[in-house]
Amino acid sequence: MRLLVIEDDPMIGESLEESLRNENYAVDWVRDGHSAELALLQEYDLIVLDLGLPKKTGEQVLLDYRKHQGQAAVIVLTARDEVTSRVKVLDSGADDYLVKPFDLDELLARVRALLRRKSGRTQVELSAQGLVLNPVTHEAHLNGEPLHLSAREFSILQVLMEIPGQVVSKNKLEDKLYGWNEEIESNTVEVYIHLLRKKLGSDFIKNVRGVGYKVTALKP
Amino acid sequence: MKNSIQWQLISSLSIGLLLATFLAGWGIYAVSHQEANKLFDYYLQQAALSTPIHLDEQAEYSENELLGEDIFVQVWNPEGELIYSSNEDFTMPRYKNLGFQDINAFNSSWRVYTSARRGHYIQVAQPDSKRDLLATNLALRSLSPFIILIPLLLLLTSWIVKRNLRPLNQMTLAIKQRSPVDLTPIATQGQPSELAPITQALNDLLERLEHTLVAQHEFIANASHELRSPLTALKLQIQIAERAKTEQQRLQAIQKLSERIDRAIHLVEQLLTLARHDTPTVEKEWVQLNALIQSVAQEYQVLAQNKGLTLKVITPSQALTVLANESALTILIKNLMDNALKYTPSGGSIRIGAKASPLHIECWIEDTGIGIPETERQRVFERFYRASNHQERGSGLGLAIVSNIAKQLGATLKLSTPTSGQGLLVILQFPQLLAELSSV
Repeated sequence: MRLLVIEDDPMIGESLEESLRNENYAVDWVRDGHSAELALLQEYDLIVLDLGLPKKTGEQVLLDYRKHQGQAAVIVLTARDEVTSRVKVLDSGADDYLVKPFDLDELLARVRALLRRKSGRTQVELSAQGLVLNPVTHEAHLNGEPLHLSAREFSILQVLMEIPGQVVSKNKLEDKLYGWNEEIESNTVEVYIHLLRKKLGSDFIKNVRGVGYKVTALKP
Repeated sequence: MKNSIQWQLISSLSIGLLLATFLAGWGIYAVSHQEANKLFDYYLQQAALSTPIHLDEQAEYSENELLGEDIFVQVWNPEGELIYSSNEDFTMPRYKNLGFQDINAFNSSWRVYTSARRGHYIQVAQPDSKRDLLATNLALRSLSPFIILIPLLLLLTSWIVKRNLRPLNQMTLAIKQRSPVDLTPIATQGQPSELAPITQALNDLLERLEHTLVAQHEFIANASHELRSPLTALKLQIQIAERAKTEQQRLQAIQKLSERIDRAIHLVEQLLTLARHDTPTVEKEWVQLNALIQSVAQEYQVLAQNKGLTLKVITPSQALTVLANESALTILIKNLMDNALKYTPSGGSIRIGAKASPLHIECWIEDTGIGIPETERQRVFERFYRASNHQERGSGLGLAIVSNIAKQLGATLKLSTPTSGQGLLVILQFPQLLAELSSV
């Protein structure tokens, strides 16, 4: 899952980036409205947006993003807690908001809920072919047995199982796994797919030649 | 009550009107009195003329209505014998002069008229006391309309005054009934021209008040936002520390936490400094500008070295003294130094100095940092405004504090670009009026 943090305060931004990375999201962080505009030319799954931004206000960034058919879930961070400003935020196209100072656990839970809703799921857990992933606890179970997965392995499976049967390209997988300043080795995705096939069986992840990878809901 | 315009108007107008009425009354009284006396004289004359000098006519004469009880008639024949007297008890001597005269007889004063007809003398007398009584009665009667006039005038005065002061009362009521947050201007239409300047002044005040309130509101909104940010950062950092899986991660998180607490403290301190220097007046004393600059620069020498900056002090040999407040001026210069240090990249230089011109004494600080875009040089003095080219995170209050203190000290602040074309040059100008030039 690829997230964009738009926050001008370096300390808050830094903390957000760090904690979201710890949850295995690919996180990009920009500090002002103009950079946000540029960053939003890429595709994101979720945006954490601070309202008080230099150069261009968060509200304007949001309005413009929605005007250009931006599809990502947007969670707004605001220091103003009056009802009118919250209403305005939601009406500008935000999916959720949090009033500063907020609780980190709450932010992470809301991020998970928005990502879940976005992929059309109501279940917290993702499952396919007897494998169950819990994004909250980062636990995985295969046929009821606990299964150990590394953070990256978990993230790859999470992307592939979000919509079972959907083919995800290697580029898209990389996009969703790595933030801007994270180094990508050319064959990392292949390495992780290889490791996962060892743990889950060779036909758990299907290779669609020339297109990408997919995980079907039921055993083929 | 004594200070009320209505009461003043009513009382002074009433007193004036009453005085005028009494004066007029007294005048009318005096004239009537005089006229009455003339009339009595005429009666007296008529009485004398109508008195028959033949005795046989005397009987009829006693019926003459012209003769009141108070008129005494005496008749003398050519031989000088008194042949008639209307009252036997009062017999007056015959006065030689003809015509009117005032006489004292029988312990009272009299008005006497003597006439001569065919050798006979007719003398008519009337006591002054009687005449006065009658004249006074007559004169008083002519004053009777005043009894109605005086209360009528008083009522009319009070009504007119109250009626004309009604716009004032209406305005008072309108202001009294306002809610404390209603700062809309008072309507001037239909107001008398005398009230318009007051209303205008009041409306001006309301407008200024509204501006102040809006600014206050903005400041509170900004301050709450600015205070929430470091608190949010603190809270996040604590939660990150709690989640740390290794001891090293935990120590790192706690180190950051302590830095963030310092930032929150700095912001609160800046807010307090700003509030402290928001008052327009401050106690001033003579401050040695060179010495102050030297001591502040000394404090920053180590900080500058640590950041790889050179810090130079350039002060003239003569001592410059300005009328200022030493602690406020120190805060001002320190804030400027903080900025120079923060926004000048490593390898740059900062220069601070003072100089005197015929009109001013100046303190200037120059750096080779990122500067402030010319278009934003006015706005940077606003609270919480941050120049768009600044990545560093300050409180946003530094220059607001600097500007407030400069205003307090009566000094002028100027932002410009150094001659090198790079960085920022801040000049603080004290007018020579407040400065004193003395050689070492």
